Amino acid sequence: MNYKDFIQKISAQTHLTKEETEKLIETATNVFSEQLTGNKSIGIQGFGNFELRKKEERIIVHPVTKKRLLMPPKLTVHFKSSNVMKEKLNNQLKNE
Amino acid sequence: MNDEKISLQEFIDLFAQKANLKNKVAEDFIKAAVSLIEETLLKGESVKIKNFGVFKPQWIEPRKSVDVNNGNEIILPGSYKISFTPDETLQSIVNEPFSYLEAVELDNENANKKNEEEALEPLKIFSEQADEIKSIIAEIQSMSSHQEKEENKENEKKQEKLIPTEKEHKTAEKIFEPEKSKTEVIENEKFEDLEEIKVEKLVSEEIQQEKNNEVFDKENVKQKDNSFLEELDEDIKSEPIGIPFHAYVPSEEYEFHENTEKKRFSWIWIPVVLILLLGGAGALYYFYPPVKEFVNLKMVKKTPALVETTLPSPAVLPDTIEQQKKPEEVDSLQILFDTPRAYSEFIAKERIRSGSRLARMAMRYYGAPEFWVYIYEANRDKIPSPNDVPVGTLIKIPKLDARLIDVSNPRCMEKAKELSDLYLSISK
Repeated sequence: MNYKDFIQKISAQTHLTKEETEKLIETATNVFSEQLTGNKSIGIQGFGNFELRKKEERIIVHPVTKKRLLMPPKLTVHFKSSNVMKEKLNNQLKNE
Repeated sequence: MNDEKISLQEFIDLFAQKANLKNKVAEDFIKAAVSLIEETLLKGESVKIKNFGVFKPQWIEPRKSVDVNNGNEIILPGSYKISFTPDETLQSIVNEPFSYLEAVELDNENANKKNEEEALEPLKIFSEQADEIKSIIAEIQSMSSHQEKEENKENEKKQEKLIPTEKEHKTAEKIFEPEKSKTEVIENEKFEDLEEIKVEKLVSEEIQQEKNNEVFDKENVKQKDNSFLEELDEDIKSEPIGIPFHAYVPSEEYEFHENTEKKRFSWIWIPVVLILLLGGAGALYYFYPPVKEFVNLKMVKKTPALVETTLPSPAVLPDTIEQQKKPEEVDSLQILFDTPRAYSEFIAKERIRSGSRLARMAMRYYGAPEFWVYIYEANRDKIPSPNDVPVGTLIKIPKLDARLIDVSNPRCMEKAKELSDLYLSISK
């Protein structure tokens, strides 16, 4: 499902226009990233946890040029689904 | 690395605040979004949210593993998990603290070159430092040349003061024990004050005194402390830049006894007797700790005084050099502070995004947030006020003199704070 479908479905559920929905989603993501940059993790019950993780620097080899590169450390958003969600998913998808 | 964990409810509150929604509406909205994502995932589809990321159910193949308890091989059944790939925008926002880092090539040739460069750079720095030090020393020498003259005068005076007493004592000694040698002379010096006051006593109790000299010294010094203090003050005032008196005198003095005693003997001792009484007393007071040490040493080991007494001078000399150097350094810093900074070289360019802070850039490029003022100075034409940096502005990060942004130097920090106060008050 792409972004367009996503907006459409939410707007149908919440009886808002697509524009409004889009705006709200945007502010939501902004708040989300703000919290993450503030080094806070966000837990959504029954869904999962979002948290900021540091990936250490590492050496990679470019597969084509065979050059060795030192990748700098970086911060990424890490998502870990809750067990509830995982179970649901497995039940649902494995039964199909 | 997480400081805090916030729940969905807290997140909804924040969101409601930001979007000017009632909490209830915001809650419904977010919950609708989350449940929609959930449903879609449960259908086995992926969800893409613009500027945020992609959620995707992912099939993990069954894989072999080992039971930790009994070491048996087991097969973990395949399962689904939700993978989340952050969008590039989110990634870059989150990664801001490390955004200035780039991948570095580590190819063998390049690596060698790099090493060479790295090896060369410190050398350059060393030679630069050497030049700097040379110039500083030259300055110090030129500056202190006249001071040294004064010092020398002072020195000579002291020596004059000391030597005649020496002579006196020596002559006095010669009468009684002419065979006593240089070490004896040196010892006499320590007693000079004693002898000045109690020559007769000394004469009669020479041998006893040698045993009891410590006691005598103490007594005398105590007795004369008050009168000494005044002289001391005078002495200290007359010394130009606070080089400790004992820094140069111990060594020179004793060399002097050895080498030039006889020459000076003929022409100094009569006119200086009066000054000598005062100066000699002062000198003894200065020397008191070393003298005590020496005497102790002699009592125990009978080692020659020269070794003991020449030691302090090399140790103290570097101190004096440092003392001279420090004001010099500070002065050059002051000059650096006072000259208007011209920003011609730049090490980097940054585009201001929402949430960017000059202080954070300063932290990254210079090592301390206080130095944002220099970035501001260099970009004053583009930044109307340090509190309000327009988003999208291209900012140049100036190359700064390393001495200006020395994090370990409190003066640099002070200066930066001063400047920041100034600019902040202007902007208000």
